[in-house]
Amino acid sequence: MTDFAAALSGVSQERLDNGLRLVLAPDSSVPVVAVNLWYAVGSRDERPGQTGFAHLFEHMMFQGSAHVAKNGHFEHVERAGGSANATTWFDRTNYFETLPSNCLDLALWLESDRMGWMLPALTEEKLANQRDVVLNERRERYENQPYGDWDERLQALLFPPGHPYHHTVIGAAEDIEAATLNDMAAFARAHYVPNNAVLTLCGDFDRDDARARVRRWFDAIPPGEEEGRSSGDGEAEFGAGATRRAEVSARVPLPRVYMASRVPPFTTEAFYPGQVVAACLGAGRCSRLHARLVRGARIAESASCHLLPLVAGATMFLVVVTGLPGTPGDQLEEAAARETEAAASLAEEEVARAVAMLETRTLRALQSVGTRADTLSMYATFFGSAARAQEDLTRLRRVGRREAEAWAKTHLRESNRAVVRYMPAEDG
Amino acid sequence: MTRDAGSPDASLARADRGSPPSSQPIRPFRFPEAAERRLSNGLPLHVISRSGFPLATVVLAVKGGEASAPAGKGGLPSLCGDALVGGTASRGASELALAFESIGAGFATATTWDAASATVSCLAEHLPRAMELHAETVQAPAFPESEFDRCKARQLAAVRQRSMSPGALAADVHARLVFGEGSLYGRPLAGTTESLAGLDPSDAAAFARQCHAPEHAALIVAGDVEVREATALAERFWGDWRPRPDAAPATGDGRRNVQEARGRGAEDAQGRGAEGTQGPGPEDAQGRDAEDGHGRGPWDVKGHSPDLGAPAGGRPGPVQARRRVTVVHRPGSVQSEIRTGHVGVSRSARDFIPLQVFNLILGGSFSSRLNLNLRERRGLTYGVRSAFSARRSPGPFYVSTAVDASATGVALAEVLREIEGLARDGPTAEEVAATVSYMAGVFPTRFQGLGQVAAAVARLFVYDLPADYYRRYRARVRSVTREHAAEAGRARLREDDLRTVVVGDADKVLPTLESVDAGPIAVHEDRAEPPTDA
Repeated sequence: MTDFAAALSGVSQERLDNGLRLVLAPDSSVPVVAVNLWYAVGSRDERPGQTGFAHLFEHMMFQGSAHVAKNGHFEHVERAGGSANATTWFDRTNYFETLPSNCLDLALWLESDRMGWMLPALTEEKLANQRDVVLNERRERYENQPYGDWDERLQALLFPPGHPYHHTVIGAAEDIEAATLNDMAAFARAHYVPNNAVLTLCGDFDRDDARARVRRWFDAIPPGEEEGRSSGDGEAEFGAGATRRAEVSARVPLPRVYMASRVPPFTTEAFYPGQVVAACLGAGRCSRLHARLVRGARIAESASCHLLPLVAGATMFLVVVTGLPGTPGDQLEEAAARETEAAASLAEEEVARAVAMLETRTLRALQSVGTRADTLSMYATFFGSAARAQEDLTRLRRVGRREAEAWAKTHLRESNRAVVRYMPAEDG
Repeated sequence: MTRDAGSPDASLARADRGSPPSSQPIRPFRFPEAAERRLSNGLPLHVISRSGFPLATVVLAVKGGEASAPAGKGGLPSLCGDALVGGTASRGASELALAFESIGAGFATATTWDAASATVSCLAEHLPRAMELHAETVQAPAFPESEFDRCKARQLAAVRQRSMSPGALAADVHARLVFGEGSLYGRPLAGTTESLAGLDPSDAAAFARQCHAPEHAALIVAGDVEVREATALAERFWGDWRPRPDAAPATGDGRRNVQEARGRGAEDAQGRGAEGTQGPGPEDAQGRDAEDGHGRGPWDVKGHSPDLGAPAGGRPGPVQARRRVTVVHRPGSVQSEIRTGHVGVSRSARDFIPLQVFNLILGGSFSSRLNLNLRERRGLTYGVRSAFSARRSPGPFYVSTAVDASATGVALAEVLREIEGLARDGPTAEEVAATVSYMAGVFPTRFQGLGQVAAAVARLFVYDLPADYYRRYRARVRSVTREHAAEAGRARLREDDLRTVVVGDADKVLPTLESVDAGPIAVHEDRAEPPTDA
């Protein structure tokens, strides 16, 4: 039987004196190395009036540090034949490079310099520049796109004010505009410290040599204060009443329904039946949503289902159904709700198919050293153990039909649901 | 790789942060060796045997993409590929999908201008069954009416979605402006409402007969499987695929008149299906893929005189020379989507690699001149890029970005200034050295997944590139000098012929364009209608 274990073998994990967790996963099949750094900070750690700060800060991390010029990060990595980027999400911010393995030191130098020496290089000019870039990102991806504000609307319905997932990662424009250098410095001191980070190397290196190199670059960075994180408000909040809804008439090409439920988070055992249910509903052409709404009833252009790997008390189970032109909104929403609730009854073959799809999909993604490193960082951050990733598929396979059905019955109820429905505005 | 773990080398002694650390000796990389075979019916087979992950990927590629669409039937090749999942002579759509998915296999199709492909990806242990189903799906499609209609409705919906996405709309209007009304590349890849409306299953069946045949196809098997076993499986499932000596996909000239009145779309692949699969079509000149490869020495650009711009094929009308601007009025847009460019180069361009170097410096990388100026210096945009999209026939060169409506003029002026400056003076030696280093270094990272390897081998077939193309690629990149890159840019950029499209709120955009030397401006309503002043 195939398993993650083979794909994720040879993983070691340790902790440097300053608290930095180091995960090493050597694989010399291609002369490439992925360097992946997770900071346990995301939009959920933002204070009121400071939404969007985690993401803005991520941009500032590319603006240079004491020994690296503005734009130096990309210039150095690209010149070495590598690629680099970073993303900000609810629970974490990740920074990563994939580059020829003989240039490992370069990535370690760059990452350590901005972990330890970023603040001396912060200037008003750089902040003003990146505020503008982020505001343009917000316009391009959220304000000027059909359906672009779906997550803002849906999160606000699904998570109450004060919940860490109530607001979006991109944040409010006025908060971004109000960010100051002092705010950035405070954010860095609170979150950008070695004891709040996981560094994973995956690829072509020797374990002992790589460890020595990591220590050379990172050992001098002092640990920061341990800060408690907002944990969300837990399971008690599930199913807090009737469906919360928003109907939006907008410049969109087709009707679309976003339907979400609050469900147990990534770090719980209940996440596994959730994944199986999501795959039964949305993975592949035999999935319930595709077979019944796209191929069967033919009211949908496409349909998908997602279970986000969030950790603060609850996460989001999401169904997205895009209607064919002219499909009435009520019909689309009712069909989406009906199929979602019907997951409380599944056939054995459906469960087996879902697990098989998840298995192939996961292995395919893990072929890339970058994805493998990111996966290991995620498990090290959320479970405290990178090796835990190896058990994932085994746990998934253990999910039985009844367990998946019970999960769907408990969590996909009408009372535990938020819906955002877009309908094309009349041509004016 | 062996190193003495007990005594790390001297460079480990202390961390000198003042300058970038030196690299270790570079380690060798060879593009995976493909064993080449020919099946009894003549179908070429390429097997890449690679262990490590218990996975396999199979690609059947045919030379017959959207450029081979019959006149007036733009979008048919994409639809034909998409509708393969409708079922076979012996299996209906649901049954076929279940057969693939019960073993966790993902089946996907993709159609580009130049090729179509069907890909299956699975655990290696399921390869025989997956190959059986994959072969049946391609060789015996039934195109039942109900499934065909469903696929058609989806493709029509996708056309509609593109027309309301500002970025896609800008790209589509730009393609028409660049290639000319009624030209092949001037229409959207996946067709138009008009060209799709009349299609029926017999069109798909006829197109499949014409283009899906061993004479124009290649089979690629990559994964954790022995060459001998893969060859036996290929022979078993594909050896009986009937040759059709009369079959012949038409090849497209991007500027040929195809008598299509309108449309949208300028993307390079249309596909559906499992994630992690890729079509064998061209990748743009972002250093992700490469061109030329016929190995005949210096970068000869003769025969590519920059006289393009008018639709070929005897279409009457003036040559569309000199700059011009089309503003598509989208009331209330907070941003403007900007595209500017002209007809670029073909896949077989002899100077394609130096041109890639040139483009990476202009706008093909984060550290490009355009991005450092518009994003990192001025904060005008989230990003800006340039590309030469190479196809069998010359595809578009374009710069694309999205900016605040009030900054439209400033941004466009800066784009034009960067193009002019780089075309005039050429890149610096330092820029070329850094870019060559990037392209050579990033090469191995492009082939980590089996899907990437199989798609790359399929591209060799689709574009008639030599078998040793990827093995020689890095040496070719490293031979590019500042002069090569400058010459390629001079030969291929025609800054006087730049066609610009702005999708945005005309009331906000027009005042900002007054002082920009981008040519006469025409304003259109928010529809992908052709400019009336062409």
